[in-house]
Amino acid sequence: MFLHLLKMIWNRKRSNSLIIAELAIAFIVVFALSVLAIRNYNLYQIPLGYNYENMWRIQIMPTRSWDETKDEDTLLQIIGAVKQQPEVEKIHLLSNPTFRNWRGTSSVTIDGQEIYYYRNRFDDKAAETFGMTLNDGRWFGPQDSNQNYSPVLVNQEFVDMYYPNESVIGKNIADPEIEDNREMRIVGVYQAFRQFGEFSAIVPYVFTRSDIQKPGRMLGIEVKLKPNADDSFEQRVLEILKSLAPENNYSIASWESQRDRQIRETTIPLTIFSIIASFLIIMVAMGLFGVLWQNVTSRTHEIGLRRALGATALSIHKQIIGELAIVTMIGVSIAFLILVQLPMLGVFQELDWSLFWISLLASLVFMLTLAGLCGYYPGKIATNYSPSEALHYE
Amino acid sequence: MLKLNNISKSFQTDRIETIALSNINLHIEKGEFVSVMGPSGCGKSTLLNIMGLLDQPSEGNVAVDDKAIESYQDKHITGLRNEKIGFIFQSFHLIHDLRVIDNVELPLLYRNISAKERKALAAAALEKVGLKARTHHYPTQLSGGQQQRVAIARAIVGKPEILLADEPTGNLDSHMGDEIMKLLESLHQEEQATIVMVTHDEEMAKRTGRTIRVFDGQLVH
Ligand SMILES: Nc1ncnc2c1ncn2[C@@H]1O[C@H](COP(=O)(O)OP(=O)(O)O)[C@@H](O)[C@H]1O
Ligand SMILES: [Mg+2]
Repeated sequence: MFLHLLKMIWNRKRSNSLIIAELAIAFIVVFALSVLAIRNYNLYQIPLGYNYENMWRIQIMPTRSWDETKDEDTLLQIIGAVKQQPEVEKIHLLSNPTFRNWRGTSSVTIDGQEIYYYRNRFDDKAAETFGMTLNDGRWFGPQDSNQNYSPVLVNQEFVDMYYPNESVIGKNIADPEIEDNREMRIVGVYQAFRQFGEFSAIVPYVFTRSDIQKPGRMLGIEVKLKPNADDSFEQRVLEILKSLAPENNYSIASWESQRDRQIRETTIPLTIFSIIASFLIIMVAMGLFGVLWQNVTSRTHEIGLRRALGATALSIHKQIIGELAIVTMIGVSIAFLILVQLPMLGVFQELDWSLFWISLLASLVFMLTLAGLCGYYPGKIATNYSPSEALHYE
Repeated sequence: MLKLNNISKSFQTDRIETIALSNINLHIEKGEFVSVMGPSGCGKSTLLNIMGLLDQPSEGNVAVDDKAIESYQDKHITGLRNEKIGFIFQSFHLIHDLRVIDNVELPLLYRNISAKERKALAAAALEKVGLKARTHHYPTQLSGGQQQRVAIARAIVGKPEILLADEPTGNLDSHMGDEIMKLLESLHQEEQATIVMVTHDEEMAKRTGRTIRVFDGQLVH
């Protein structure tokens, strides 16, 4: 029977090649959508590495360039004044804010390996307040003051990417090509700090230290408020800041509101895209349904004949679905040969093999289900005719 | 070997009920060659379809080998259709996407027969109808007469007990029609095939052993 199916498919290669092409295109579309959906879902599942509840950021926006002598004092005064507010539990410094796309990156070559990472700066106790997890080594501390090295913390991804099989504690990641470069000594490994939010990729990420007593140029202050803090906090702090240093502008926003904004900004295009994508899939599905339906109804005659010659309705169903399954697999295989190039050539960094296979499997299940339905219903209708009706079907 | 008892058949379309057959009693004996005649639309095809278990009668019953068909459920009658009945249609009904040999093989596909044996039986049937040389052609490469001979080979390949032919020469010119008739006659004489054939041609009807006349859904004597 299998041989008979192959024969039928081969002898109908003209009409089948159209279906196969349509199936291959449909599969590519479905695959692309699965990749996007699965990737974003996976990213969303990965913990941020910190807590955003009750966290607020005060952003200092100077209207002139930083003055070494005066501005550090002003900053210290601001820190002192904010700390005085009754609802403030903790106060910290953080260079690049969470849930925004402000980024600093560095790239160095160490022992022939190119090391690329995102960086940020915070003070000694910030990691604990943010609720970050230490995997190895230690956090920053007073022992790092007045040393001949700069301490750094790296995330687990940094270790997994660049030093998967060794301990990184004590390693120097300063650029060796710069003469007399100050040592950058890794003192600890933390799990994660996904600065760019839930839908962002996992990237190697490095913290350098900021001394809250001698902060230098720092424009971001993070405060942790006590639960149920007063609504007036925002306004009150803004007034204090304005009176302390009227030459700057300020903004205050909770991490939560920044997160909401960022999720909105990510999900709105994603939603629009998925609506377009759903239409695309519906169109593809309908097109496919039409072609396959047509393929089956145009064979009502043949089905009537086979039944007249002694085929059971079941064997007709098996034949139709078997044929469709084979044709679908041919279409999918063609699409596969194209798609497999993507991870093989590393076209998209994000499309690794595991994402590739999972998306492939999801798309395959989708396509086979679709083909099954497209084969089942028209087959059902065609076998509901008596053989003599089917033979006279126009 | 084939008995129709008080068969009636009506078709319900929209609000019109067409009575195609009423109260038919008929007995076909083993080895008979019977012709069925009557004006167009009198119910000949309907009669043949009911004999061939392609259609269910509205009333009455069909008995094959003295066993009355009780249920027209798929699983009850497909086996009978496959093994006991060979159908020949006016418009051949070959599958154009299959080669001649694969068309002839079709009924055997629904039996438990190995591919090799199917091939052998199909080749033998093709030889009987004189089309051995056309085994690997496609139906569209053949003349109408040849196509009908392929259809006959397909009808006899499973060695059915009865051949039902619905105007087998209706789509053919008289020369080709005569060849088909000769083929049916030789199957009847040499293989003792039981044949029921619908025809419009008095001359052909005369060459059969018995002629049944249908008028307005009833048998006339
Ligand atoms: N499937 C059907 N649905 C409705 N009416 C039908 C159907 N098949 C046959 N008929 C009607 O039954 C009558 C007998 O048809 P048929 O058996 O094909 O006649 P014949 O073969 O003698 O020309 C005709 O009036 C025809 O229109
Ligand atoms: Mg007719």
